[in-house]
Amino acid sequence: MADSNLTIGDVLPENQKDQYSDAVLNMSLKEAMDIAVYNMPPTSDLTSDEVAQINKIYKDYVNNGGDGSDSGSAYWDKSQEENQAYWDKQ
Amino acid sequence: MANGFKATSQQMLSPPNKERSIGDFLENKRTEYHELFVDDSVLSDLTCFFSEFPTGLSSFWGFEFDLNTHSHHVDFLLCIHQPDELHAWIQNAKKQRIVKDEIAKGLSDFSIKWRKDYNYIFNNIWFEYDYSEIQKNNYIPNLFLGPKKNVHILNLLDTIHNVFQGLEFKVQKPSYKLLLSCISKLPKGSWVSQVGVMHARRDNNLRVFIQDIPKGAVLPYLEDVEYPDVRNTHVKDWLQIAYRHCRKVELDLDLGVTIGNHIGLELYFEFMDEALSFLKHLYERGLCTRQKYLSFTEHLQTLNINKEAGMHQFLSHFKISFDGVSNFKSKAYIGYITADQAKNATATKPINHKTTKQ
Repeated sequence: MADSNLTIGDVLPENQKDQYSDAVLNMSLKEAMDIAVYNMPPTSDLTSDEVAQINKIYKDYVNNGGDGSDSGSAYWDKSQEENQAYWDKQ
Repeated sequence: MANGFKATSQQMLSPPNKERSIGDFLENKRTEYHELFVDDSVLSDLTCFFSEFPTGLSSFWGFEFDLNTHSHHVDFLLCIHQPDELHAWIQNAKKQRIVKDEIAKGLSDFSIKWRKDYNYIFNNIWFEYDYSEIQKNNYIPNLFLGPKKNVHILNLLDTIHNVFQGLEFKVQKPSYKLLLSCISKLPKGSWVSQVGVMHARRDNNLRVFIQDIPKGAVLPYLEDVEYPDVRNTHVKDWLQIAYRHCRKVELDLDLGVTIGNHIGLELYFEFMDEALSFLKHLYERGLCTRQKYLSFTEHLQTLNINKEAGMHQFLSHFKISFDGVSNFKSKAYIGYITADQAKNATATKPINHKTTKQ
């Protein structure tokens, strides 16, 4: 399975793009996450300001909603305690 | 099966040395639900088609019934949450030549990554089969990925794009931009439970399912993401009706180059009498035929939580979908789940719940 070629510029809203350089917008999501999450060095020449831009984009977007926690259940988003309380309710 | 031959349901029952299939289960439990089927041949087609799916592949699957038409057709969905089971199924499907090579490779690669890297990203995946494709013995599913809530949006987008690219789905990049917009604008508490592609329908849009949108927040959200029919009075009307009857609404949106006109409202109930009241409302509004209203009303009252049952039958939800012009459709989703998981995935408590301690 080849790596995704989705870039930051592909997914950011148009009205935000003028805040970022072409080098940032052309960067793949995977590389951006490597930089932001794992502090890995960029594969191309980026200024420290551009690295800061990538970190900002990463922080601006968070998780997939809810309260960010996951019950780990294959089906249901509630904890076992919450679920039991739901079923105990008559 | 693979070459289009259709056996009778008795002929297709698994031989003793073959693992029991979902088809076997459907055949053996036929009396539990067959009253919901207008035409027995539809059930026989499903039984035959799902003889290729071992019961171990899915512990949660079900039927999708049209309520507002006299159509005999029934679609089918199954949830897979174990990568090893998916991997084994796809290897067998490859051997049987029942799925195209690119789909087999994409699913096989996905199942391998899901064991490790993707284990932190996806809870489960869903296969949906339209009856028209079941009739053609087309085993290529409409595919939905069920992400976890704590995955970072950019990681999720990158992974979904990677998976769909590996399956050679032709999703356009603007769809991912819209997905980012839809997720980043979610009202507090809501989350994306599935992102999929109706590939078997030759549709290249993303379909996104949003759970737990607070009452009153749906219309502002639709406005925020620029859903084109947000001011349609019928949509507003159905939302109000939905919130009067049900516990929660899940929203389905289609993401192409722009957000599509189609919208789906999936309605989940806390108690069966609320679900029955809503079904009656559908009937009175002309969104459920009399025959289906009577058979579903009778059937839903018989459902129960039975810890002794190997698989537990339950009402998942009703759905109202709007085509963006003037047409509404309604559907009912009735499924089976393993008894030990029943209370983890069932929202609607059976009719005797208020009188019997469960």
